[in-house]
Amino acid sequence: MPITIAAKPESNLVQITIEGRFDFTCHAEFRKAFASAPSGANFMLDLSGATYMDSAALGMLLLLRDKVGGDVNRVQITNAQGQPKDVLTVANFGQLFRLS
Amino acid sequence: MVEHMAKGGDLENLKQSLDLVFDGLKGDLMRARAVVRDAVGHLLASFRGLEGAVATQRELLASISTALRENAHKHGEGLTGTTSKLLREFVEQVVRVSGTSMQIIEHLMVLSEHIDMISKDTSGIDQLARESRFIAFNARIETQRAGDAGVTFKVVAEEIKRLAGASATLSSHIRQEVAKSVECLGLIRKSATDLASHDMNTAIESRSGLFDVVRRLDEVNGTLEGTVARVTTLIADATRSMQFEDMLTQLLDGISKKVISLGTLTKQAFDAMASNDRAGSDQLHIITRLLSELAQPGAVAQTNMSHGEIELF
Repeated sequence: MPITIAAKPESNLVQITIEGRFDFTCHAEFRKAFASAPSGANFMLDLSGATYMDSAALGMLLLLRDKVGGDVNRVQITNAQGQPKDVLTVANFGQLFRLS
Repeated sequence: MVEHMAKGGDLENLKQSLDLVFDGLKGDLMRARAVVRDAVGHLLASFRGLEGAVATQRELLASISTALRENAHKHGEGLTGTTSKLLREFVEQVVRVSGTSMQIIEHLMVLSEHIDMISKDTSGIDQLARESRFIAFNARIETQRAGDAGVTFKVVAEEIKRLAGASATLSSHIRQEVAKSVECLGLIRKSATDLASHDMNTAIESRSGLFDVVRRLDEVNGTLEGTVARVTTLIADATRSMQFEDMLTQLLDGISKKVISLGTLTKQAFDAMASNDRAGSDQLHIITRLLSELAQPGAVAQTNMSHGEIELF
């Protein structure tokens, strides 16, 4: 399973962990993650295991951003490295999300 | 000793030989001057040509630099800045298309759920049609049992049966249209997915390549500027060194004058020695003093080109 979803109600956080390729094949699972999340939840996307991202993944991140009303602080993207990190940099996503 | 030497035709022979030597020396000196002047002329022409070529190269570099600056002034950024901006806009466009495509896919999924509901509703219509047909069938049995009294009711039963059939036909038609719609939705979803999915590696490589080009351009600019400056300095040094022609000319002129004076004084010395009297002896003293003056160094004291160019000229 390339996507693992872990809800943490005590911290009002939904953690989404992605392994391997982050592209359109992840859409259904990714959609579940934010469709089932409670209103007002914050999201943390762990990309430490992601090896590839395409623009569909960026599109999904934008959907997630819309879901939280465009609030930069409510979606945190962590541990991106290699190609996914380059993609986030070239797309200038540091202005749209919290990257760490 | 002078009296001993100043005898017979020996002195005259010696005098003629020395004349020949002095004439030869003067000729050699003139040829040396001509050779030096010719060689220096060629060298200077070459260096001036090289200096001109370097100046042209420097002007070309300056014009490129000016053009880049003017372009930067006109558009608010340089060539690399423009390229970087284009790349950034391209990436933004890709991200925008992907984001919009993903939203379209979201809407399609909602639409698909509504169409599923319509499919379920058609199943309900089919059930209603089946039940209506069954009611019409039972009604026909009852009308036959009622005989003439049931004729009117038979018409109603037939109408119910017809309506049930029409409902079933309509339901079938809706199902067919729904199936076509689902097929179209699938195609739209496929197109939206294709639009959303764009490999970003080209953009990453272009960005990396752009940074590399900028870095290399800076390096080349630095190297070229340094090289041009060094060549200019070398040419200036070489041109300055070419001034040795003037130094040599002065030296050769001095030597030439000394040779001429030496020739004249030698003749006079021979004449004085030949006279063999008091006046001749006085003349020899004067000649000796003039010869000691000739022994003084010339106007040029330098032994190399590393210093003294100002005092030379």
